[in-house]
Amino acid sequence: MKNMKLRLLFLAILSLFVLAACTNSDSKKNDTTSTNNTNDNSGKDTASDPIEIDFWHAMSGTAQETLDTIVANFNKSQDKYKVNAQYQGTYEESLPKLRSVGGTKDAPAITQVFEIGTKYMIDSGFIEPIQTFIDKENYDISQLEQNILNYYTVDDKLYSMPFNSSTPVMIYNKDAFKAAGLDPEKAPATFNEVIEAAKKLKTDDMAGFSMLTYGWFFEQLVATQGGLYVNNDNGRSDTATESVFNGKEGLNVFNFLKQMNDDGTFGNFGTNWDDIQAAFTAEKVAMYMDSSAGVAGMIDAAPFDVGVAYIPYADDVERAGVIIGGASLWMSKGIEEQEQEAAWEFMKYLQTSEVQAEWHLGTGYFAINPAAYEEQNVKDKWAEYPQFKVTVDQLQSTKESFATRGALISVFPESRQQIVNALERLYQGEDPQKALDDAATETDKAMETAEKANQ
Amino acid sequence: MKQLTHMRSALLYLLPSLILFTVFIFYPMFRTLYLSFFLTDAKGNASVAVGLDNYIHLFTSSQFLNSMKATLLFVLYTVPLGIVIALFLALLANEKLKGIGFFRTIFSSTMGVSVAASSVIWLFLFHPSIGMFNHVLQLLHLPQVQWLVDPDWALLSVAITTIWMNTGFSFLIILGGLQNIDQTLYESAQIDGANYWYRLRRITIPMLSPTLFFISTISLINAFQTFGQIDILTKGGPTQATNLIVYSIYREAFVNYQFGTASAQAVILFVIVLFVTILQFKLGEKKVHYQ
Amino acid sequence: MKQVSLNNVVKTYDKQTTVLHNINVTIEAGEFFVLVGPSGCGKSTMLRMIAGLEDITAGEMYIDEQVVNDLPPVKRELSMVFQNYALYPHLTVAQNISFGLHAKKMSKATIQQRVEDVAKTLQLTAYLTRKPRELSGGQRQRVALARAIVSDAKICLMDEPLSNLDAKLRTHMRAEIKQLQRKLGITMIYVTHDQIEAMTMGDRIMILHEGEIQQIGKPIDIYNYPANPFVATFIGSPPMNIAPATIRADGFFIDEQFILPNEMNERFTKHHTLVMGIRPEHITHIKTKNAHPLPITLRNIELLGTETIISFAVGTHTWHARMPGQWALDVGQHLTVYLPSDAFYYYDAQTGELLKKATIVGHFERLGDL
Repeated sequence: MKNMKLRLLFLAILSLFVLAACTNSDSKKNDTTSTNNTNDNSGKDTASDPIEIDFWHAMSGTAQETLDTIVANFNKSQDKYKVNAQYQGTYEESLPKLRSVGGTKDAPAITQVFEIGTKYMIDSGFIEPIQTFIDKENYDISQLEQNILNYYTVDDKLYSMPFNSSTPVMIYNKDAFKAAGLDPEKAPATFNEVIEAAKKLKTDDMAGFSMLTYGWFFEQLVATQGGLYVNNDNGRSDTATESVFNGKEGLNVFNFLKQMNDDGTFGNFGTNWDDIQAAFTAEKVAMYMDSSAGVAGMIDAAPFDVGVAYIPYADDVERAGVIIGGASLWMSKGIEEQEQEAAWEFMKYLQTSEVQAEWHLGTGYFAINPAAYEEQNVKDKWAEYPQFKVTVDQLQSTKESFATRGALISVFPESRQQIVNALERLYQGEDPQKALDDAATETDKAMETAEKANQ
Repeated sequence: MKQLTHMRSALLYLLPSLILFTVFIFYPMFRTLYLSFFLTDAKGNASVAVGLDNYIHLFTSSQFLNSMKATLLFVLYTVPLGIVIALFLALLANEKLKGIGFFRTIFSSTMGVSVAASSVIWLFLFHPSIGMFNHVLQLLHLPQVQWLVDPDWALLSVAITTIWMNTGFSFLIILGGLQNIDQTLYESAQIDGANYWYRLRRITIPMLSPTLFFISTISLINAFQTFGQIDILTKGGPTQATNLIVYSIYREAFVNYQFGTASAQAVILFVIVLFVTILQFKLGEKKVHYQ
Repeated sequence: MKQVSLNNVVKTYDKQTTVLHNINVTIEAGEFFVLVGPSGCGKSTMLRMIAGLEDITAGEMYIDEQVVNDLPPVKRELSMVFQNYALYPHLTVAQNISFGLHAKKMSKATIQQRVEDVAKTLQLTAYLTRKPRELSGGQRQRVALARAIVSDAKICLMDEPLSNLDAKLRTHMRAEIKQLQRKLGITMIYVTHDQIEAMTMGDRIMILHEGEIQQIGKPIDIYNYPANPFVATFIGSPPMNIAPATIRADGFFIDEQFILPNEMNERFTKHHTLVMGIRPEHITHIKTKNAHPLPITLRNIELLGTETIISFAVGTHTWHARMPGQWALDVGQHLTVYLPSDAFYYYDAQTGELLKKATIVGHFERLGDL
């Protein structure tokens, strides 16, 4: 009997260990929050304990280094707040993590979310719109780039603070242009001009034009013709219920690509960003579409003269411009007020022209505060790389419309995947309209399911 | 009375593992099954009960059926060939030759390379413009192959990568099996005048059958669950040619946030793997000679 | 029937370790030849060299007149039984027996006929469809034998075939193998570490120790005239009592203990020390002619029924004596035993050479003498 008791005790202890092991990570988290709380309380009395907040981001490589420097500078610039920047994996990876803590005290004060997650974040209930803070202290956001704000403004409310923004551009090999007898200073502007130039540029080793098989570029080529992606004004007047990218503008894009594919002037380098960039530097393709954030790297990497141009548009329409891409910063709801205050201070810090200049130069992303372009270090860099100016000009000359503000749908990732499928099928010889229609149908189905699930 | 006490102490001894299994296996399994009958909202919680709709939707979706087809093809490409190659290498490495230890290390080395690292290596090899394979083809004046971009090649390319990655493990297990075979069986056969192929067919293969059976079961299950190399090499493309079921589940759950349909796919995959494994045990085990 | 001869055969591993030195022996056709020695003496290596499973480092090997050094095993036309039987676990008894015949691509009818014949000879007919794991140890042994004789090879090699069997079965199989060999008239080369097997089965035996031949001969000759102290102690149970002895003018001493008076001093003058030996059965409790008394203290007594084996200390050595019948003795008891001087063997302490044989042995008793 005594034995039995001992055994029981032993087992009880053992299972406690197991449970403790399972809940270990949670308890740690709770510990940090509780210390945070004590910090917060004592913060009222003494100025020495700063309010700490977490900042989840998806920046890796050089962008992460730049970001870490900016965060360190912010922490040094004052002693009231302390920001902990944490890399949480790619945009796709960090979102599910946010979902498990979103809306609770454990959520990070600031989360960086990619642009196509905008609708999802608005609907999630995890966040406090930035507009709340702007209104509270009448913060002036007119200094910021209007074309970027447009994207993140929904129902006249700015939901998130723009942060890293980029647009697509067309990058081309000036040396190849010269060799083909084309004017290296005047890139082709319309679809037909690109098609013709591609024919001239095509050699045994080099394709004329290429585009990463990625939905974003398709969206841009539709938008620059003034075309919408989904109904209800790109989902900005009311929740989108139907995709319209399979209309005239979308078909123009597909025909444009199909024409070059049929001509044999199109180079297909797949869905991997590195592959297409390597193809360009290896002179396997003369013109391709890239992100404005990649321009600096490409100029350095390419062993030839690199030209940067606006993205092409259909011949029979006017150029409408580009949609902003990249990511923005979201403020969590359900955390301490002081933490929100700290986050808001940090966001404001990020908007200053000095920080934006540093960010722009360090990463190639746009400065969301155009005043940054007047900083001396930016001017110096632009003198060295005049191509940078093209990217900014393209953004600033964009005409504001529902098309160029970008679509707002919660199933964007899935829709982009459908566009990738459609493009791949197109390159395999599928009828352009059929490929687009199928992608539209699948997108509609996804929107319908999401709508049903989130009622 | 005594039996009851025994039962109780037995349960107590099992408690730790029961708790672990419940937390990490049973609960997630039942949760997956549960979610597969629902649509999920933005937070990933079950919101609308749809009964079997998720399953019906999947079986009428050409994309899911395509995923199933791609997965089966992938299994067919990788499992038999992978085992044959590993067996071949193991037979070579089992010969008593000078410096054979070096080759044993080389042949098993892919086991030490992570899926991510080896996928990146192959990504470079397959690179359409600066990859080694296309470079070699060019030197031989052969047409270039769009390894990962051409839908006719992509699944094969991923299969080649997978075979390469799995060879190390299979090789090591098969080599172990070979070294477990009593040498005197071969000596006896040698005296009887059996040539190499006769010995291979009549002794090595039957004696190795438990090992081969184990390896084929493991490879089969692994092939069904392939994810990492797909994510890095092709992301399911081109035209869904490499969208294997696990990758499709990942996309559905973590890109499209549809945990309901993702769970339904997971349940279907579970049933398929279970069925194939049972089938294999039923058919395969008759041919296995345990000592 | 075939003859196997080894001419200066040497086996060296990795050009360093020599496991067999200059082996010279001719195994006659139809002979039952036993290779015996303690483990690690090289006997299995020698057998495997004859089989062709090991290379011959130097020297020549002949089967009849043909040099077979580089001949693959199958061309040597022999059969072999392994210590663990080497049965194929996945094949039935019939398939195991016919394995080699299939490999040699014989016709199906011939194969079936032969398997049936052999199975009958070895009483395996009832087990032909079983797998080896369904057989007893003795039956497996028989399958291994069947596999060896089914090929009709004229030379059969056996590597400790009985070591996995229990004592009773072993005695039975000894006789069975011996009969089979006689009946089939094959040349048998049989490796064992068991001196009883060697004595009972071999027409001739060869004793190997550390890769060198110690003695070759008929079992009884080896028993009677062991060529050196190793053979003397290896053959016979309990072994021959031996000990290094000092010769003085007044006699032979072992560790200062007087053993025998020096009656033949002149024969060993050039030796200062030598090794003396006497078989346990020659030590008696009765005083006979030429026997010298030795007072002893009993250390151990083994009552075996037909005989009693006693052990006692001679100097620092333990000696045994075998006394017929059953004796009531106690450990610690003082006793006098008698050592006949004509029962002693004398070996050179350095070379181990046999200097003088016992003369008490070699007189076979015949039925007619009674």
